[in-house]
Amino acid sequence: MSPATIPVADEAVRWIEAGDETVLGVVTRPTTAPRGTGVVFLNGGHGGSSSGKNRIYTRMAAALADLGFHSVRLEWRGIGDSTGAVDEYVMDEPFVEEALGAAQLLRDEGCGRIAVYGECFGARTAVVAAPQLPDLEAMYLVTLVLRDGALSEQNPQRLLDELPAREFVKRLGKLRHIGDARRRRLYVDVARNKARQVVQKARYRREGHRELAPWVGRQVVTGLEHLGARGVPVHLVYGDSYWDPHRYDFEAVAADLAPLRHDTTTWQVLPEMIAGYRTLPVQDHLVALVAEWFDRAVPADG
Amino acid sequence: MSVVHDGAGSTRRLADGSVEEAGWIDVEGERVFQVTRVPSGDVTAWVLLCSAVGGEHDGGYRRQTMLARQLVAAGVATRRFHYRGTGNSHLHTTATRETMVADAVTAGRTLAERFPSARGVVLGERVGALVAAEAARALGARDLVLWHPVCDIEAYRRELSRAAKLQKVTSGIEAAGDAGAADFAATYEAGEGDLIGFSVPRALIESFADRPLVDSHPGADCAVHLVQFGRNRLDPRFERLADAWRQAGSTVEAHLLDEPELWWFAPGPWKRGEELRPVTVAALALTVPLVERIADGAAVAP
Repeated sequence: MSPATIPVADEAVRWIEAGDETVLGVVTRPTTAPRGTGVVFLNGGHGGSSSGKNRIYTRMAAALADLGFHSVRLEWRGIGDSTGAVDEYVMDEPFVEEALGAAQLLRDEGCGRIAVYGECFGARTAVVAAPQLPDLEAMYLVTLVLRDGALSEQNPQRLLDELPAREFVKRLGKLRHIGDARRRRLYVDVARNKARQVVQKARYRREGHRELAPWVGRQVVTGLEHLGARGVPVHLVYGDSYWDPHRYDFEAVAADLAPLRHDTTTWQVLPEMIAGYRTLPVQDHLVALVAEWFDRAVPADG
Repeated sequence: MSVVHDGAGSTRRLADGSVEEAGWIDVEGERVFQVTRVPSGDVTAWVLLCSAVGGEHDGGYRRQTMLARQLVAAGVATRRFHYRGTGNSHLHTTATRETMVADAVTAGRTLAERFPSARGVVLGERVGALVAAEAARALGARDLVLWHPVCDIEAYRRELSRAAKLQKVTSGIEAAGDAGAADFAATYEAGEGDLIGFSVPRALIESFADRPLVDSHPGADCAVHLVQFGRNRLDPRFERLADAWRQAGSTVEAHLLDEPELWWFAPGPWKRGEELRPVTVAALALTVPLVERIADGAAVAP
């Protein structure tokens, strides 16, 4: 097909009021018979503007438009043309209001069913927002981060995992460089994370998740459980790159993560550098996979 | 403004009375995404922002938004846009010098027609400088601001090649045996360079091959403001450019920023809000008063 004959999706820009911020969204309308389903794209933190890295969301939107889907791609607060400023994206402080605003935009476009694509911080936001989306039909989650906190806090967290509480307390008594403010902040961070993990471990035991690692965020457990109980198809995707720690985190706990046992929840580890969309072929592959999956998960006939 | 493809809902009015309009303009039957910020009172100057491409665009786009929002208080209207083939602009186009200059000239012309008594300023960042210089001449702009311009496309291609290698080292991909990573040089030779997931079409690079920046003199009536990021001495390439354009009749001011930019690596290793990045703070601290002075000059002697 020559470029001149490719159908071009109709698009519109919308400003979404979310709390104190106004975020920019780009709505794409179907090029074929509408399914009445809209897909919300939720970017990773600092993942670029609404079009995404190398315009991956613009391409996904076009592929889905050809299948009859509406979609909206967002710029989080502090990104691109949206208002606000963000220092670090903290996983357990997702921007739910912005996601809900984007979904409402699609309802205003006439969509009776909502689906979500989320990557990294966007995936966490999607899982947390799900209970407030009664018309949610499907969710595609790429590199869902299981740990809480900002990404910069997560490597110290991983180091902590190796350290039993007894050893940890013993080492607290031998702290060096405690006079240095930066080190002190680090120690406080480490201690806070350890305390959080001890509390979380007790809580998971009480709730019957005896084997679940305490660093798995509670939002992830309750969010995925909620989605499974509702029967919403959820697909989790991780990449196979040695430097992508989220995939290792996921594989370490997948067997103990009870919500994954729901029939409607599936996952796969692709033999590609998915995190950060690190190559052009990965992006092309993902665009195709996402279009295929939503096509199957949310059939045109409802 | 000729916003096409459903402009409804794409305009927002801010508390200071200024207006932000987002949408698409039509260029050769294809669409160019743009955001225009218009002050509430008299417009003394307009600024057309010609961005970089790829990772440099992603790293710099927020800075453009911040610049636009700061300039509005001085009565300066701004327009930022995505070249066709990038961002939210037309999907089925490969950006080349011809399309990028056409996009910039069309975006600038509609701005100039809307504010006929305002002074025209074109700002180009990196590769965008090659576009901005040509657009400034076509638009009869009185001032051209260049943020660390690319002077010669072949040198730029070599920079990209080095950036690709360096990214592999810093991200640990090389240490891991390069598994799954793209080879920039090989993919570039094949037609589309893969720079850690950013597309660098060979056609784009080659379209600038016979057009070094020095050959795109914006005209003797156009004052040039050259801003170098990092280093405390003007780069010899910029010295040669300034000398050549002075000989052609332009006034050329060079400004040195202490803060270096990471360009293709930004905002990667930073991972913090753009508002906090020292280089962005420094670039705006220099550029905002510079454009305000230009606008003041226009108010005194239009």
